[in-house]
Amino acid sequence: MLLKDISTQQETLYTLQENEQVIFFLLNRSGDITFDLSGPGSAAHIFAFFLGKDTDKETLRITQKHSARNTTSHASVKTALFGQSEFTYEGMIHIEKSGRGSKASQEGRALLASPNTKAFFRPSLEILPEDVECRHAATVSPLNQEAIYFLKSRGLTEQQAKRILIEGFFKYDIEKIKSLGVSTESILPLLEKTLIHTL
Amino acid sequence: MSKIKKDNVDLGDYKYGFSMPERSVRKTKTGLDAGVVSEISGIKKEPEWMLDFRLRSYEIFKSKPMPNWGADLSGIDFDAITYYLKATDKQSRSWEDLPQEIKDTYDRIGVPEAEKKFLAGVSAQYESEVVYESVNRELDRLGVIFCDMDTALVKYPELVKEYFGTLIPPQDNKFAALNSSVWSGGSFVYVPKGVEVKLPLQAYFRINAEAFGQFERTLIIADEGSYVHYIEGCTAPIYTTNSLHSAVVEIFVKKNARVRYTTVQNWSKNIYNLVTKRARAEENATMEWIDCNIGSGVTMKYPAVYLAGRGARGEVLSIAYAGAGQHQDAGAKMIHLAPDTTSRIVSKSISKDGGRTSYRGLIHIGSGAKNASSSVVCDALLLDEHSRSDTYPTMNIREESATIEHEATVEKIGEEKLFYLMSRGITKGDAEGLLVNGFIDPVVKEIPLEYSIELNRLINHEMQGSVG
Repeated sequence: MLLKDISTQQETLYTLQENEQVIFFLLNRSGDITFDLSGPGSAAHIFAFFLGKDTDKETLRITQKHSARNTTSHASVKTALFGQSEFTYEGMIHIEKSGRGSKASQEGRALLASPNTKAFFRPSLEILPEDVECRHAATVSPLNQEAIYFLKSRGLTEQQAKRILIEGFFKYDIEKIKSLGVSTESILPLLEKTLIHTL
Repeated sequence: MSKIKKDNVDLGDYKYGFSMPERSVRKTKTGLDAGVVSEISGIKKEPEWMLDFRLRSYEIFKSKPMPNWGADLSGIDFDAITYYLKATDKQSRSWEDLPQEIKDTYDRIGVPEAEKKFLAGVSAQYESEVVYESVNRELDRLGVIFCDMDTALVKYPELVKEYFGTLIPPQDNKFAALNSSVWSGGSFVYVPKGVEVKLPLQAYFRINAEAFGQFERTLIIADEGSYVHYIEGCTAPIYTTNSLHSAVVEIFVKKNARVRYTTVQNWSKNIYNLVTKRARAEENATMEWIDCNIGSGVTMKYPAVYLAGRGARGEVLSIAYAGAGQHQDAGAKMIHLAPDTTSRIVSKSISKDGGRTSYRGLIHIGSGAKNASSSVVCDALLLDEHSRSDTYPTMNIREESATIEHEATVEKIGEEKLFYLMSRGITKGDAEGLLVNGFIDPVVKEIPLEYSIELNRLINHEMQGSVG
């Protein structure tokens, strides 16, 4: 399995050939991106992270298009929003008639870390064949104030406490990338740097 | 409506597909113009403000474009529809007084039996007008009002004027504007403070004429601390031309009150069912929509709850079944506008024989709706490879302290389960029926027994037909 950091790329279409398996890493990337699973047996694991600050206002549109059989795609979009930032995630899983036996999922999770942040989610599914497994999930929640209180009572600053909670929020995906058999060494420093910059 | 023949409509042995000869004492010409709108208002001897409201709505209807999303509505020809048809001159309070054809119709649908057994009040609408109404004496004594909308306008003008069209104004959408201009019939319910109506109120809607539009208008007001359960059932005969059913339902749930609204929609497959339903829940009030869409060719319906008071709760439990030639575009909207409001949406959809189900939903958490929480679960079952399932949820969150959960799955029927049941000697049709009924059980168990049995039978019936 190959890990591709496409955070700073401009391409809007990624086409996967037969049995090609790729992990896509997106940090603070926005705009429209289509992952076309055009080769049988191909798989795309998409991990997008967005850290919003100040008056950031971004939209990420991810289309997971299954046009070949037995293809797999999983998208996980995690956002933590600070300041007055706004983030929109519009996901579309589209499984063509030719995409029998496919598996697809999408997950959007937002953490609203400041009072004036806004999250807008629209994870859609369009399923034509019968023989598929498909699911999506979305959650929006505040930063756990009790956890922050607890961490502060142990001598951490508010900043440090928030950082720990957000790292925890991202950890699940990092572990998932690891479990797919690739090293996360190249991406962890990037995440950390962006988080410190945002806080 | 349109004279376009829908050749993919398999009307099969739809039990309510019979038709009676059309009878009318008053009928407007086909098509719609300001004259028809005034004529309807004139027949009903309405006050000036209502005529103005209708005419204003008609202008809005003309100016609004057809929705360019959701289901395909190109088969509707507004010029081919009859907008008002009155089948009998008087409304009956006793079953025997009804004209024979109408009586036969409701006998075959089973209205009087259901009434005898468990209903507190029943109203039956045939074409444009409510033809039969029976209300338990107990309800009168408690001060509960249950009558048709036209009667309410005459008898309780102040109440009607205060609420009518305030939650769903004609500007809301094209079909709400159409309904506002040509509405006729529907129910008016008022439950006074602290009164709990123990048995459900029921309305039956029946379209008999061909190429006809039924536009009922329902208004329910549940005053503080009250409770009422309202059930509606819908059927129509089978014609090759399409008919239109476009209702508007407005519900006001006051402080600490609770309203439950159950729909078992079983229109025949030549009906366009385009309905706007909305409730406003005040402090600690609860609004529950239970929405079962089994029939109709095209349905677009998204019951909504405006959670306007602190601690208000909204629920939508929805079942959609789409067979050959059907598109059920159904869902729910929860608008959280106050702190501590909660909502839950459970949607179960089944597509079979080329049918298409779409879940379309909105969760809106306004800024200031502190600690609002919402949970959405949509499950779709695809029974064959010709069918289609879509999920279009929207979440718009403007409040930091909100908690939102959304989950959706699409699956096919479990082969192992099917195999297991068939190995026990159950036919494939029966086995599928069992599995589908299990799939929708979380919603069905919320429905009164008589209806849930009917629903299970309908599902079983739909499962039998096709699978070889």
